[in-house]
Parts: sequence; structure tokens; C-alpha cells
Amino acid sequence: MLRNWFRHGNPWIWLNAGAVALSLLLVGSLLVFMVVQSIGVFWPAEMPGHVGAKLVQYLSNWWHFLTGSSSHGGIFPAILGTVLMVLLMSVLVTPLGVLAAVYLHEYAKEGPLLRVIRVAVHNLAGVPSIVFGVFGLGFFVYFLGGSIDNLFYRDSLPTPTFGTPGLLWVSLTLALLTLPVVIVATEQGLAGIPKNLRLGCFALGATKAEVIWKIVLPQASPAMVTALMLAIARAAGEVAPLLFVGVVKSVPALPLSSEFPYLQLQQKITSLGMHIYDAGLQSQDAQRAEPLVFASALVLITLIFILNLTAYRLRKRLNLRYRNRPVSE
Amino acid sequence: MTAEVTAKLEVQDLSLKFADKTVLQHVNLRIPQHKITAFIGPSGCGKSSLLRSFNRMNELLEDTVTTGKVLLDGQNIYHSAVEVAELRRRVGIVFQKPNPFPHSVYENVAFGLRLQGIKQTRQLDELVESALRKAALWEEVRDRLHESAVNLSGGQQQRLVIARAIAIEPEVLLLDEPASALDPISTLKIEELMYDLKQHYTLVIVTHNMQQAARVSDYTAFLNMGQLIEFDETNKMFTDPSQRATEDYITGRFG
Repeated sequence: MLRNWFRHGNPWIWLNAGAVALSLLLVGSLLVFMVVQSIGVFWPAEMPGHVGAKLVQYLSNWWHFLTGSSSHGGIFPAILGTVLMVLLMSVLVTPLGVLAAVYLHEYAKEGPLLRVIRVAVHNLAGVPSIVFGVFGLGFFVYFLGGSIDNLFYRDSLPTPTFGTPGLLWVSLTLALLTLPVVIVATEQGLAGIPKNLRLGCFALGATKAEVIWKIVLPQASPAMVTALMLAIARAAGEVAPLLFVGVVKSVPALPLSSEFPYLQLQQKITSLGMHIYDAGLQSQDAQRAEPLVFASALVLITLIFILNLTAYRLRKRLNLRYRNRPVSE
Repeated sequence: MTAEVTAKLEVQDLSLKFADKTVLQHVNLRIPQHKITAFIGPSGCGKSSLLRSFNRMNELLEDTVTTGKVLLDGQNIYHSAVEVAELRRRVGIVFQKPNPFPHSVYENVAFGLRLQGIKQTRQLDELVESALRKAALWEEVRDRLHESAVNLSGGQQQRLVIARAIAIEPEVLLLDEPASALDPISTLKIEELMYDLKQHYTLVIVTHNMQQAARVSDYTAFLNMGQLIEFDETNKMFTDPSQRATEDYITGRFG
């Protein structure tokens, strides 16, 4: 019977549609579960008074949760830490990844060496993230940080300044972790640029550098944003490798200050992922902690969603501006 | 060719290989100045490759080996001291398929000018208008200069690409089957345009269309299997070809 169905029915449509439906169901139930688990956390059930007053209190509780410091049960340091490490990572990984992709696609000559490099880049994407953490500790923190201390912060030794885990090393480790994603996605974007556009540009007397600057990079800019979106999504939730290089469960001070240089790159940070791990598994009072864990997870998802939405809108604008294509992709 | 016509381009013993495939063999040819020269021949005969060798476009396409010389005003363009970008500014090319940049009409024409370092808006405005007028496109696009070039019709796009090419005042304009993707009316416009352009430029056109070659060109070269079979004035070539192969091709007996 199955065989008959497979031959005369329309098996692929059903299998494909089934796979789509299952995926949607899983993603949907994840979101619904998160919301259901955390929506009621801050509802003041015991508070006397009517619904309006309760609602005000409810929103105020959320507000305190989102903006309060960790000693007051808030997650603001974690949100700030996550945003900072991801933004700094983006600033580091985008130019590096784009330049590498341009070199690989536009300048490097096809041959065995280039194939080896490509395979290496792809393999880098498959390295377990914890390995990057260990590498970050050994290379960035001890070697790079130690060298910086020796060169510029001699006076304060033996207390390390950069030779100890901190925000800069977190972002650098994340940048290394997401570098292959950015390279591969950007290269795909470069490969998608019609050849006759390049030829048209050469035909007007442009040098190779001008072709890349005036045609190739603008044309590939939406692909770069896509690459960055993938990188952000991967980086924002990382915890394990970052334990080595500067993410801790609570910080005495925020890495931002009102005085120059405003951003304290050497300071340790905390992140939402870390907070979720810590509150969920290291907490004394599991009963009380569990809803807060879900609330934090919801905040993390929302944060990634907002970052992606920003990138998506940017990509749409770049598409319109440089490719005259109203539809993305 | 009569002696008083000056040669803008002179091809001397030019051979061309793509990877291991021989595309052109020992071609010798003189392209007269301010005339239209047409290259005809069956598909794969090497006429487009010969055209692209005039501004060294071949080397962008594949692994190519070029031997021999192409002289532009007596200077060998394959000499190692030649700056390719500067050469391509002097020898423009228009391809079969219109390839406007996905920018506005104005920016397409201004593109090459900006590459030349022209930045003043007034000057750009004037040069863009004059190029569009020469390409017989100005009247159709004057009100939509800042709309996307991609929205123009195929024929308009091709004339825009020609405007883009002549905006930087090249000395030679190479046209690689410029009308083969267009409808008859657009084709006619392109042909009229070529006729106007030859006052100022030396034009070389590759075409599959015999009538087109006969209509627009002053000289015609017939190529087959990578070799130049015959080169003469178009009138002579189409009425009294000296080679049997040329006659067969023109009358449609092969190719």
C-alpha cells in the first residue's frame, strides 16, 4: 500500500509539506512555550486592588526586571553586556570577513592552494565553540593581553589590565567564531553579481580596484548584512567559550562610563546567556528562579529578533539603493 | 582598401588562444578611421574575440594567450607599458545584452565621467545631456533621469549603454551584436545612431545580420574558423566577393 501511494500519490508534496509543518510547529511551540512560561512571572496576583492597578504594577515589575542591576534582581547588566559584545564583534568581524572574502573571490587565483584555504575556512565553521574559548584564553588573553600589559601598562603590573579576561577578548573570540560564516556568506554574495556588470565597469576604463569599490562592494552589501545577521544570531547566545575570556555571572561595574574612553574594553561583562545558565542551574531556589530563566530567555530571543530586524531593514535599504531591487534576496 | 584612408587600428599577425583552444590565427587587418567596419562570419568564427582584443577585454574572460600586435594610432596596445584602463577609456565597447548599472539613468552615464575624476555637478549635467542626445535617448528620458535604468525598455537600455560609452569620448567604439537582442524598431534606431556616430568615432560592429552589415557598414571583414577570409569595402564585398567562401556565406549557402 505504501509502495502504491509512493508511486501514484504525490509523495514529495506530502513529505515536503510535512517537514515544513513540523518545523513550523517546533519553532512556534518554542515561542509559545517561552511566552506562556514567562508572561505571568511578574503578575502581582496577591496584590489587592482592581485590574488596572495590577497591570501598572505588572508593567513596572517588567521594567525593573529589564533595567535593574543584578543586586536588585534585574538583568540590565546582562542585556547591556550582550549588546556590547555583539556590536563590538560586528565591528571587528565585518571588515575582516568582507576583506577576506573579496580577496578569495576577486584576487586569489583558482588552484589547489585556494581550494585548501576554502576548505579550511569551512572547517573553521565546524570547530566546536568551546575550542575557540580555550584559544581565546591562550592567545588573546594571555599572549596578546599580556603583551599589551608589558608594553603599555608596566606600572600597574603584576595586576593585569588587558592580560585578564574582558570585553575586548569576548568580542574578539566571537569575531573569530563567526568569521567563517561572514566569509562564506559574503563570498556567495560576490559570486551572485552578474558578470556583465563587472565587464561594463571595466569597459568604461575602470581599474580592478575601482570595479570592486564602485560595483562589487555596493552590489554585495546586502549579502554582507545577511552574513552579519547570521553571525549575530550565532554569537548572541554563546556562553561556554566566553566563560574563558571575560563573561562572568555578575559584574561590579558596567563596562560603560560617562568619562573618556566611555567603553571599558578590559572590563569583564555578563551576558543574557550567562544569566540564563547561572539562574537556571546555579540558583539555590529553583522554584523562584525557573520563571525568571524563561523571562530572560524571552528577552534574549527578543533582543536577537530586534538586532536581526534592524539588519533586515538595513539590507532592504541597501538593496533599493544599490541594486534597484525592491524585493530582498 | 584605398590608400588615402588612415587606419585607426592595425592588427598584425594576431593569434588568440582560450585555454588550449585556438580562436584566432594570424589575423592581419586595418580598421579605417571614422568609418564603420562590420565583422561577419558564422558562430564561433572568432569575430567577437577579435573585437574584444581591440581593448583587451579577452583577458578578463578566460585564460587567454594573445600573440601578435594591435596598433592603436601606431602604438601596440599589447605592449607591457600600456595601461589597460586608459586603453579601455579610448576604446569603448558595447555588448550584446544591455548591461546598465542598477543605478539611475543619470548615474549610468555619469559613471565613466566620475571615474575620470569629473565631480562638478554643472559639468556632469552638461556631459550627461550631450551623451544622451548623441545616443538619441535624451527626448525619451529627460523627465526620468533619476529613475532606475533597469526600468527602461531593452532598446532604451542599449542606447543608454552606448551613451554611457560615448560620454567619456572614446576614439573607437566596439559594438558586439548591439541589436541582436532588440526588436526591429529599436534595431533601426541603433543603426541610425551608428550612422551619426561615425562622424566622430571609429566604429567596429560584430553582427550576425547580413542586411545590417550591408546597410550600416563601410567596410566588411569576413571571418571563418579563426581566420580572416576577406576584407573589403562593403559594397564590393556584397556584390562581388573575391572568395568563394564569402559568397557562399553571404548568400546563405553555409553558416
